[in-house]
Order: sequence, then C-alpha cells, then structure tokens
Amino acid sequence: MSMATSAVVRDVEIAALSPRTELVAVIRAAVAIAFGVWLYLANQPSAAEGGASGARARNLLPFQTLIQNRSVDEQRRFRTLQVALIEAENLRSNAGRWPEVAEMAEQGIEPFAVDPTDKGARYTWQLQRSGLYVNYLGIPDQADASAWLILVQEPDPSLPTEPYQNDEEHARLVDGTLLHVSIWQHANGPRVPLSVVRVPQAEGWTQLFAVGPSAGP
Amino acid sequence: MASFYAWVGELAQQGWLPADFQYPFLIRGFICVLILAPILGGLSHLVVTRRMAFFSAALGQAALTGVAIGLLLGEPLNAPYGGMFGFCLLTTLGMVYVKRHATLPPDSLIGVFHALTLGLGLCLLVLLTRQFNVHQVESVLFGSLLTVTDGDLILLLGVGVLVAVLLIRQYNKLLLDSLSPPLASVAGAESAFLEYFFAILLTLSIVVSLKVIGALLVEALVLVPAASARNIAQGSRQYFVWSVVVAFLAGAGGLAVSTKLLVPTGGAVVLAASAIFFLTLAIGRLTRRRGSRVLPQA
Repeated sequence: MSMATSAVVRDVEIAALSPRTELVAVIRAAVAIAFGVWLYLANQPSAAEGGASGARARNLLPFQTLIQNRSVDEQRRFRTLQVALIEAENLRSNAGRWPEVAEMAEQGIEPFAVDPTDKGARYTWQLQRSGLYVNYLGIPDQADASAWLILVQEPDPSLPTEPYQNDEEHARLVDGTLLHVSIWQHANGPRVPLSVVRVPQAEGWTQLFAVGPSAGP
Repeated sequence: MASFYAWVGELAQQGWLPADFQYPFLIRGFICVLILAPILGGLSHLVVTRRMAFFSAALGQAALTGVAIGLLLGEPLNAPYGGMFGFCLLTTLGMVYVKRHATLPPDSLIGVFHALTLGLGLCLLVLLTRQFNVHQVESVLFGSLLTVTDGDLILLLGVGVLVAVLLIRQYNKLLLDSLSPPLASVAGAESAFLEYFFAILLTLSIVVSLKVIGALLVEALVLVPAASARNIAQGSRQYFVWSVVVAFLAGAGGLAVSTKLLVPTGGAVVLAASAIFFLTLAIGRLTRRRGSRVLPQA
C-alpha cells in the first residue's frame, strides 16, 4: 500500500497529430515513392533496346528461352523437331493416331531417321502416351548432350473448344482438333527419367521458342 | 549461384538430400521458405493483434494491380517490381490515412480499397492480354516456384533483412501499441507513426512473397501462422516463436506437396498452414482440457 502511495504519478499529454500535418507527411512520402519508382523504371533497360527479340525475351518466364540465343547445333536440332512435329501432326490427321518413331524413321523424317552426316550425339527416340499427353522423347548417348522433347497435349473432350491461336504453342489438325504443342530441352540428357512428361518445367526442362509466347486471343 | 546449385544437386544425387533438390528452382524455393518464414511468421502475430488480416488481403489484391501497372509501363514479365512496390506502397499510405480519419468502420473502408484495386487490376489485366499471353501472368496469381529467379532471391533477402532490422528496433513499441495505444503513447511511442510503419513493413513483405505464394493467397500466410500459434502458445514470446515455426513448417510442407503433386505452390503452402491450424486447435483444446482437470485437484 505504501508502495502505491509513494509511486511518482506523472501526467502525460497525448497530443494527436493534426490531420493537416499528417496529410502533408503522407503526401511527401507518396511523392518520394513515386519518384523512387520513376527512377527505377527510368534505369531499366527498355524493351526497345534489344530490338524485337529483346522485347520478346522480356515476356519469357525463367524456364523459357528463345532458340536464337542457343548454339547453331541446338538451333538445327530445334528446326528438325519443328518439321518432325508438323509431319507427326499430318500422320495423326490421316491415321487418327500418333505415328511410332520407327514409322517416321522409315519415311526419312529427321531426327528419328539418323542423319549420317551428323557427328553429334546419337539419340534414342521413343513415343510415350498417357491420357491426353503425348511425348516424343530423345535421350542422347553422350553424357554432356541435351535431351529433347516434343510435348503434345490433346484437347480434353469434356471441356469447351478453345479459340485457335496462330502461334508456336497451338496447332490445328485437318479435322479441326486443337493441340497444345511445345519443344523442350534438358541439359542433363542421359539422366532424364523415361516416364511421360506432363509438366516439363517442373522436371528441369527448358521450353524453346522461335518467336516467343503470343498474346492472348 | 550455378556452382551452389550444382553442389546441392550432387548432394541430392548422392542421397544426402531428397532427389528433388537436383533442380535449382526447388533449391531457390527452399531458400525462399527459409527467408520468408521468420519475416511473415514474425509479422503475423502483430497482424492478428492489430486486426489487420483484411488489410493484408487487400494488399495482396493491390499487388495484382501493381503487376498489371508494371507490365503496362514496360517492365519485364518476370520482375514487375516497380509497379508492385509503387502501387502497393501508395495504396497502403492511402488506406492507413483514410482509415485513421474516416468515421466508417475500418473493415468497410478497407473493403472499398479492396474492391477498387481489384476492379482496376482486372480492367488492366484485360488490357494486358493484348500484349501478353495471360497464362504467363497466372503464376503471379497463384504463386509458382518455377518463376523465382536468383534476382528475386537477392531482393527477398535484402527486403527480409531490412524488415527484420526495422521490426526488431520497434518491436516492443509495436507490441505495446497493438495491445494498448494510449499506454504506448504514454511510453513515448507515436501511435500514428507506428501504424504507418507497420503497414509499410507488411506491404514490403507481402510484395516480395508474391512470386512464391501468389496474390490471391498471400494474406493466409500472414494470418494463419499467428492463428495457429495462438492455439498453443502461452505468453507472447511463445506466440512469436510458434508463429515463425508454423510459417516455416507450412512453407516447407507446401513446397514438398507442390513439387510432388505439381500443384501451385501458394495453394499447397496455404493448405499446409491450414492443416497445422486445425492440428494446433485440437492440441490447444486437449491441453486446456487437461489443465482444467488438473486445476481443481490443485
């Protein structure tokens, strides 16, 4: 009890900040933020600096890249895979099923048919299917060579038809079926698992583009 | 960083670490969790105490609008930080100022800002679809480890250290102000300053977490860890520690689920946090029941 009576009682005035002073401080802070953002944006390399490819590269995610930034051998391999994909789509349109690797090799379609002038790694190609997903997977025989993948996703018949986009990631068959198609590369070629790939980016694959992902419809 | 990823990858291949650690994106994700857990966990109990859960949700939506603004201003798709930081910080200042001076209840005012920023964001996103494939922006909505880069990690680390230092300096005042603003004022704290200060720290933390957790779910990770900790903590120190532990467990658990099941990281992290919440709720009830049985005997 004596403790309570002997404690020093002090009066403290709690003065609220005047609204005007607070508003001025808030406006100052807002101006500083806007200025900071302007400075940051002004020092960013602009899309125009790298030309058209620079602008396209800015729209890529970390697991995507443009083939023009890769080696000549990789660019050549990418082109042959683009052609092979078109051939496979034609065969799929005619026969109603995805052609086996041996079938395309017999028809001389690269890279399934071996090019005797190619001095690089030899690839073992295989067709894998699971549900709506189709893989043409190429595994190299050299430890330092990349694996390659053509990934095709067929449309889900239970979903409404998507609008067609004329870009690298969509292809339309003769019967109007719209496919999602993409070409991927994996640096650890011989170590790639042989199971069907559904989400390649989650397994360390890099998606390659000739032009880049398009805008929406 | 490439040599670090290669070293960790080797450890994974030798069986010292789970096999998934051979992928750099997963290593980056785990480092993100290690940095985010103490930041968001440390802030989360103050968020709950200061009743700022809805404020955090509004900030998450504002970040979405910030992304759209950044992209429209020409920022790269993978790092629209100027737009995000700028818009979110300005929104924060506006929300706190209006909340302090309007006569409407705070949740109504935040609801107005929430609707405003979301509406603006949706309109801008539609404009964006003329420039970008909108699927490319999905990762911002739901969070994706696959889009986290080394630059994001450095930014996260920098902001994490900044937030931690500032939070430690003002922690006692913030806690006192959260519990009793008049008492904090008597102790020399400036309540108005603390309100803006904490809101800005929260904004910075939310913006740097977006790539991992996503705009739609980020508020869950600044709310659920504290809610879980409150179920089992006895005292403010335990409350703080458990918040950080829950945030870490939710982050690491969500990361594992996301990698195994190939689902968005943000969703998996929030599911893990929610599972921990219900677990701690059960543990808390059990502990209290035991305590109430013991007390009469004593």
